Amino acid sequence: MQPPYVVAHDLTKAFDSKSVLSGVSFEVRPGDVIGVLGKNGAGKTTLLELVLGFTPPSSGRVEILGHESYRLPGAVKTRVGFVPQQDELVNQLTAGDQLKLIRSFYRTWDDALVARLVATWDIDLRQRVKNMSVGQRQKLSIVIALGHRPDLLILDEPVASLDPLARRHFLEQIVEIAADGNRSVVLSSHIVSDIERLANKIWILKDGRLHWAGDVDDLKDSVVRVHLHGARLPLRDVRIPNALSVDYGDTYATAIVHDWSAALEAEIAGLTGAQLEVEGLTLEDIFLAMHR
Amino acid sequence: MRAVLRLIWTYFTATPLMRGLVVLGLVCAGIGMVGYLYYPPWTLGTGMRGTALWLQALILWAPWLGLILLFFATSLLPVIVERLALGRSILVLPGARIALLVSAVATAGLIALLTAFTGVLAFFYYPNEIKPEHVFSRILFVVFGDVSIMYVALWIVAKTRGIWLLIGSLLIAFGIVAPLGLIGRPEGVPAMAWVGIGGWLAFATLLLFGGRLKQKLARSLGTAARLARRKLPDTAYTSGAELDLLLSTSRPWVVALGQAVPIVVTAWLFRQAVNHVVWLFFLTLFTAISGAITSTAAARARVLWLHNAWTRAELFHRVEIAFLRYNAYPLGVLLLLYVGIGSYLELPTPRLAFGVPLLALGGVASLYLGLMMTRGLGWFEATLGVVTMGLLMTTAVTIGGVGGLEPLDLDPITAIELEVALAALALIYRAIASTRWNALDWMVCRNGPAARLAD
Repeated sequence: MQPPYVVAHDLTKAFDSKSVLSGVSFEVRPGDVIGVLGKNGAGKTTLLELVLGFTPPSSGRVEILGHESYRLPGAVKTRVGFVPQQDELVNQLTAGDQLKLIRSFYRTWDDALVARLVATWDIDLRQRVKNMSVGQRQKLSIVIALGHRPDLLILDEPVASLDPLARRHFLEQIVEIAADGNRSVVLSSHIVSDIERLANKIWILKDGRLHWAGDVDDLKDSVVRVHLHGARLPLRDVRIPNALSVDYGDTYATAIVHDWSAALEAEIAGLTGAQLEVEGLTLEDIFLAMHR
Repeated sequence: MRAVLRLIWTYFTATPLMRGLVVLGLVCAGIGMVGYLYYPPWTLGTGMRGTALWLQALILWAPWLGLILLFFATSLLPVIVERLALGRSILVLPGARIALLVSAVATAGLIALLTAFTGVLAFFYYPNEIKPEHVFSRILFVVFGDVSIMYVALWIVAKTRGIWLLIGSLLIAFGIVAPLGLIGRPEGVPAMAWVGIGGWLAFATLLLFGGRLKQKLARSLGTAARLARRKLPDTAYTSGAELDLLLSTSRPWVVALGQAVPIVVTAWLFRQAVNHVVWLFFLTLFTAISGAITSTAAARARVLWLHNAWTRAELFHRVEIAFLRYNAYPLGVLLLLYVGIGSYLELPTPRLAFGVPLLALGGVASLYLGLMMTRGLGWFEATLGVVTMGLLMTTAVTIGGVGGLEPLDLDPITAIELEVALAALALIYRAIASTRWNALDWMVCRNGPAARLAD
């Protein structure tokens, strides 16, 4: 088994006295495609910036490929790609010159991949960056981040400005990158459906803590909607265990519960005397339930 | 190395205009250098006896023009370097900060080297005893410092608006002319070179260690900052002062004290050396700050217009009052400093008296010049800016007196005429500003020319 690309232990970040992240630990292993979800201000960008070593943690430690992220050597940087939330392209240059400029920093640059992406995304290399639309600029930023075929790709809300077609192409590209099992992708996004489609692992940040970190399928198996009907008791009088939220009707209730298992099902059935119908949830439903 | 070369190439060829300047600059420099070797103009004829004067002049100036063009071909360097240096992506680009620093210094060095080489050729047949190696090192140092300062000036031009654009342009003009006076003195390393080297060292420190310095500074100042926050109000906003908050006119003391510090420091450093006319000149320059501040008023006022039921005319009236009140603070401090420094330097009372309305009128004219910039800084506004500065400087010199302290030197009629002209200018600017605000188009005023230049 290959060692993890990123290891974070008990990370805390505070600005002045305001805590943004506390006690966050995780690993990113080769082949992981991790979606980072959280409300605005949950600390997604801070988390990604800590991973990349843009800012030192207030306490704790992050390592990328065995090196402390805040002091990354050049050799490790060649294995990392990054797409910032807002592009950092040089307005005065053409898209082609911008690519040539970034290419000069890397020994391993995949011209064929870049050419293919440029063609697929219809990027005009002769156009000056300042004349490009926000979406075009974002596409160029992504091409730049992918050009040297990084082992670890970190993307901070990369698809926010892309049209649906470009988003689809982008997602296909990410899947292709992760397909060989040796590369990892960490991306934050508010488009939960994209994360659901793409990621095999999920981090959900809430109140500065890693509320959930694990496989998408595990999460979807763990959090379910339960319809209760035909109960012996008034359902309002019963506290349903592990409930994230409960909606009550006259003779029924619908609850979203976490850590779903056969034992929990038996416990709820025993408490309420109701018949239970279990329904799977989308990632978006789970995310919303966690933030109610 | 590849990245350094690519960056240098990018600085010289970022846009088609820059590429054109490079080609033209190289052609001019090449022709001139060949001319220096085979038709040395200093000897005025040993190689070109009977040649037309215009041709000699062309050979004399062509390489220098070429070098200036080459420098201006790299005029996007400060903006490109800033964009890359401040981005976060640079932190994951391997060796990027070193490459950025080396490429920028190397570009300045390359221009200095070419200029020094040209200088040796130019002085090769010069009829005096200056050794070529002295010429070379002298020009190399002076031009390296000068080019470094000019990059800062170009950055000011690209990133600032209003009057600062003009000040940056004047600094560039100074940078083109200044070396001529310095190169002629062959002893030692000139101060300009040290300024340039110091500037690059400061830039290198910020670029390479800025993040860590910031962290350490934040830690050491953290306690003091927290204490200050507890003691001082956390926001500039107080209920009822929404207009000032949105126009950024809520803290007039910041500008007032901000301008007082350099003036007081300069007054202390040059208490023996500087003539009072220089002081009036210097303080008059500070009145232009009003223009720089108010030039952003139109863009800022959009949110006021959206949230209030004011017409554009009412909006102008309220903005005008807000900025008059705001600028009264720095102007008041400026006048106090002027009277204080003038008294200390024993400036004759008539000159002192005429200086007070000059500063006040300078402030008001600049304020309205800024307010009329509702469409950014076009040729019209730039021309008016130059006219205003010219009139201010002329009046300052007239009132201050070029050479002496005698009160009799002052021609009061001329001084009054000039000040009346300034007042008239202020009224004209106000009328233009009022008219423009009545038809204010926020699509046009949002992006000034500096922003366009930066793009």
